[in-house]
Amino acid sequence: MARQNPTERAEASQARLEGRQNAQSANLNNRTNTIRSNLNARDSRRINELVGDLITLGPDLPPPTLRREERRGPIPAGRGYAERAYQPGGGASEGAAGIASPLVEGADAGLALARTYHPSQILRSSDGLFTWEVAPVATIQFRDANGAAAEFRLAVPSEPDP
Amino acid sequence: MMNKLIRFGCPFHGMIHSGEIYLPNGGQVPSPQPAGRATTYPDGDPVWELHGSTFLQRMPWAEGGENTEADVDAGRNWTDYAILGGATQRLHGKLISGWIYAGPDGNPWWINAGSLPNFSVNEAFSGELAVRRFGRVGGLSSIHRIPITLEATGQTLTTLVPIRFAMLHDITPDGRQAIFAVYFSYTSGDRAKFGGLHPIGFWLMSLSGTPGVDFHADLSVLRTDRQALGVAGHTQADYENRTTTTYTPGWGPGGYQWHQGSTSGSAWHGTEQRSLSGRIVGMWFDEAETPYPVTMSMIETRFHDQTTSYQATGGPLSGDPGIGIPWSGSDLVRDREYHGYWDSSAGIELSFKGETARISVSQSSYRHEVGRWVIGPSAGNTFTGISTGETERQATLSTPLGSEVINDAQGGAALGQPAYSDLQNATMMSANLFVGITGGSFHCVGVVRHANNFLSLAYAHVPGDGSPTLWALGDGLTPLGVVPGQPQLGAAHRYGSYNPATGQIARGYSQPVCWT
Repeated sequence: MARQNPTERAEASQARLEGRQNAQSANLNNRTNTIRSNLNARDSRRINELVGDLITLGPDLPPPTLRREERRGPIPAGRGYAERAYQPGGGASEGAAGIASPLVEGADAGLALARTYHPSQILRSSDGLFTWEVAPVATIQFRDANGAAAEFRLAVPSEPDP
Repeated sequence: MMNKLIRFGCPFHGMIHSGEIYLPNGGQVPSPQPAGRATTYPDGDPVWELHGSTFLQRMPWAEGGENTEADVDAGRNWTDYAILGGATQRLHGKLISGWIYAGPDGNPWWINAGSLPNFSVNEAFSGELAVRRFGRVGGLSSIHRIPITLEATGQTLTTLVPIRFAMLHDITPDGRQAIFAVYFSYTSGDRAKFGGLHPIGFWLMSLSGTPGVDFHADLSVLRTDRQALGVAGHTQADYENRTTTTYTPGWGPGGYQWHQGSTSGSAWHGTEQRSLSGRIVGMWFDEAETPYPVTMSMIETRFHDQTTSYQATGGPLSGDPGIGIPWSGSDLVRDREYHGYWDSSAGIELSFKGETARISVSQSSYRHEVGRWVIGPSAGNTFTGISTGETERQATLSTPLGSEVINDAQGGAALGQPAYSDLQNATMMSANLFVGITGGSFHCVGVVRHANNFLSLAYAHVPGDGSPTLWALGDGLTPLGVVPGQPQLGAAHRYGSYNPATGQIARGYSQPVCWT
């Protein structure tokens, strides 16, 4: 039998050690799973027993209700913030999905109207004497900071409700 | 449009006074004061009439709006109506000189015809309606000019001022019908300055169709001037000859004694009455949007009677003072007694659909004279003797403010007045009805025209010393009925207005008021 050099011995020893650790880890996992399984089964049994007991208490019990929540009022005015600040071109590689701020209306360079409209609506004053004919915006074309096209699609405004 | 439009309009409504709208929350917002029509009197004093005129407009499609708590706090009221105010029709502060017509196309149309051109009696009328889309935000629309003519205007009374003019008087809320009142202006005889506008006919304008498509304006006569004038009545007193037994002194068979004689003369006695019924002073649409007349009736009654009686005793006397022989015997005594009675009253009624407001003034006065003429020993040795006498004068004046007794009143109203002329009947709203107590002082009743739809009966005391006329507004009349009077006297509180949407009344103000 050929005599191993020190390096080979060390590697063999390391391999045996890892094998033993792996075996111990597997055993430990098995035991853990067994115990957890036993615990889950016991909990399930106890829960079922508890539900059964509650059912046998009879139908006169009122159904559970949620406590009425106190009105908290409107959220106080304050300055908004973003949880994550986007930087133009940062955080995503070229060609990746996403819109880079700012969005600029128009298809080409510079600001330009790029909208389509829903059919016009006639809005009347409360006394019916004054009318305001207005076409709600349907779509708005944008370019993002990378020059990529984006579009808003807006629904037809519903009847006013205060 | 990314924002949601909650609502829009003009939610500020209330009474306008001194250029401010008085809101229901107690606040005020500025607003132009709707103007009336000025009549200038010969002394240069202008009187404003129709300053409180109001015209309710409610478009069939108007939805109004719910008032939130914030609206109520801010005095906002999102109504489904609007009110045109003043003689020249202001809408939300803007002068429109006309009204809004709810077209069958579902659009409001501005009818620019608040006042029509003057015309002369017995001549055809021709004018023009300028019609255009109203209230559309974002641009003007073209004007449709619609000629209107009326061959027979219903104005034929040449006994009145011949120049007539028509002004908007009432409208249906949708503006599809409008009543015009035909007026003439006249101030003479209006001692209290009740007003110089006298309606003497009414026209109806009916609109149909869509301007630019099939629009049609039909003008017709609702009441002619003869119909508006009403029916006059006149019952004259008796002009009779009365004989009175008299006694005069003179020589007779037994000496100086009374000689019986008589005197006779013709004079007016009894009761005299002048009346006017059914004088149409307004026409308002009723709930069914049918034009219905507002009528004025008046009655003026005068009564007078007087008696003079003589009684003579004593004598005959002996002697002759002319030659120095003193009188002897029982005195010649002649007693004279005079009773004079004058009653006069004037009353006016205003009626609309069975609701009647009334006002009157009256005076009852008498004069009582007693005199004694004594000739004889106790009255000196003369043929003229001694005359003594007393006179008692008193009058009771009854006005809406109560009754008062006036001592030393001078006489009363004279009888024998002729029937009122057409002109007097036509201007009867303005204080031709009065009773006079002392020279130059008059107690008048008349009609104050606050607005197209609000008339007040008024009592005015015009002092004879030139001091300001004092007023008291009596019962008033609106399309809703009688408004209770305000029996208090003030120098200049002739202004008032009626809110056709809420029925609210404002009057007794010294400056013009109106509603919006």
